Amino acid sequence: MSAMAVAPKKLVVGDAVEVDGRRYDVIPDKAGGVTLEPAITVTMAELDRRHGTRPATQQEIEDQMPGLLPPDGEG
Amino acid sequence: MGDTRVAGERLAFDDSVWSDEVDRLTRGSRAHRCALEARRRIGYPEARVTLRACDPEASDGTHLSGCAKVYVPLDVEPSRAPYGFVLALRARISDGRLMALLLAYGERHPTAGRSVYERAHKRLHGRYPDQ
Repeated sequence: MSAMAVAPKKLVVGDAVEVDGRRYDVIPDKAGGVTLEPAITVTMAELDRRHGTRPATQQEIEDQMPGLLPPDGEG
Repeated sequence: MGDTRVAGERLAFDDSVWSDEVDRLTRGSRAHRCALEARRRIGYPEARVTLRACDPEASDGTHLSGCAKVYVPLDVEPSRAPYGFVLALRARISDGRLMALLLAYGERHPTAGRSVYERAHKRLHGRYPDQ
């Protein structure tokens, strides 16, 4: 019996793959190729739905979180 | 100067987000251990947490307006903290109370892969900054 030829699937940016039960996104690797990044499975919209929240206004942030420190440019 | 820290009761660590962000890390690695230790110290109502606003438009292309970050490990100065939590500041619809919902955890300046800021950007906007 002859071996069956299997053509590997070429991954492109935007694909999603599953390895050992975990999902990965295919993303650019900054060297012209692609690499795998653990997928983000829950969106902000879904988090808002689950927690009953919406975007806070700047005024709400200033009023309720006066201790919030300003950006430091550290990244 | 008054206490600039925020009560831990304002933080929300959604199980699915925690799984996306922390369970992806090798168990026992420094990044994994630091995440667990930081959450143990800040993830309860009486905790006091230093939150710093994220750059609304950073040089790496991320747009994180309305977000804040916590440097990890907690006790080191920012320039020496390799990891961070990024949280979205949201208001509860029922009473307007401000909450900080975990968006991402990871390396701030990785040599490979996405930074914690890029992952937070994707969770917020549905794509990475360069996509």
